[in-house]
Formats: sequence, C-alpha cells, structure tokens
Amino acid sequence: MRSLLRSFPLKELKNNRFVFTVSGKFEYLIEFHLSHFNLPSSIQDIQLYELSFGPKNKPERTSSQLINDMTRNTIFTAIDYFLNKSDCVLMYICDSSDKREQARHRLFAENWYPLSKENFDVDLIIRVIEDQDLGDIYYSGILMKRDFKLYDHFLNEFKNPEILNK
Amino acid sequence: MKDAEIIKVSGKVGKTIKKAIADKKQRMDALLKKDFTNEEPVKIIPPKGTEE
Repeated sequence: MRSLLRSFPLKELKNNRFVFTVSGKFEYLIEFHLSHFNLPSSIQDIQLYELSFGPKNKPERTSSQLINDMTRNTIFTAIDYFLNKSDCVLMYICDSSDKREQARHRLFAENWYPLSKENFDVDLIIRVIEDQDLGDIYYSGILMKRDFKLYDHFLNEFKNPEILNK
Repeated sequence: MKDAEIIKVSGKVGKTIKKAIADKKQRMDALLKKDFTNEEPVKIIPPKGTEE
C-alpha cells in the first residue's frame, strides 16, 4: 500500500516547470502554461492554465509497478502544489492521437481526484468533447479549488463550447 | 466530482481543439530536448512516503 503514496523528490524550476529524476538520466518534465483558449470577457481575469508532462531519456525496458506508481504520484504532487500556490483554474485535454486518451483521463478521474480530495478541497469537472465533423473524442477536465471565487461563474461559462475557440 | 458532461462541437471549434493539442505536444517535445540539469531550482519538494 505504501507505494501508492510514495513519490520522487521534485524540483520546481522557473516558468512553472517541474522536473524529477526517475533513475539515472531518465527524467520527467511537467509544465503548467497559460491557456490560449479564448475566455469570454466576463471571466477574462481568470488564469486558465493547461498541463503537459512527458518523459526524457526513458529506457526501453518496462518500469516496475513501484516506479510507475511513484512517477504518477510525483506528477500528482506537482499538480497539487501548483493548484495550491496559484489562484488559477487548471485544464487538461487528453491527447487522442495515439488512442490512449481514456488511459490519460483515468489518471485524473480514478487516481488523482480520489487522492487529492482527501488533502484539500478540490473538484474535478469532466467534459467529454465530441467533434461531430471529424469524429474525434476528447476527454477533458477542469481542476479547481472549491473555494475559487469564480467557481460557479467559470463552470457556467465552460458549458459553452465557444470557450474552446480562439 | 460530477458526472461527465458531453459537449458536442463542430467546424472551427473542433479544428481549434485538434490544433491546440498538436501545438501542446510540439511544445512539450521541444521542451524535452532542453537540458535543465544546471538550472537552479526555485524549490525542492521532498519525496513522500520515505519514512518507515
């Protein structure tokens, strides 16, 4: 059970970037960057961030379950730290180009949320976006502290798909 | 956590989302080529679960 909570030491760098070493030169980079989606004028003061992460120098051989758990937990630590230090809303839209979008989405819905809601008052709002023309399906989520002052306002506006236009 | 809401999009919005994801992937791929080894950390967040 302990591996469910173990994590690697995490370095916060400039520009909302974080890095941690898994082993040797194998690292993960996490970045939170301001979204370019066009928020309506009524909520333009909200800082909407997006999240990206990826491995660097990942070895060919498969990692153990312990390493996978620790990697996942360290990414969650960065998310929780960033959400708590910033007065912002965090959004993810899962990449579907390799058909692994559901696995990415489950990382948030089934792993991150149940753990993090025990530590602070946070919510995950899931939106499944269906592109009726191209047939693509995108799993997206909004991570927001429940005491965020524009919580209801943001959710209300986010029902409008035009928010995802630029 | 509320149940997932389904948003149907079409036309320009769908293309915008597709491009935004591709841009983000490209941005991360470029970042992963950079070397952050010598960058001074702003903060070090200690690991969890190491106490026995």
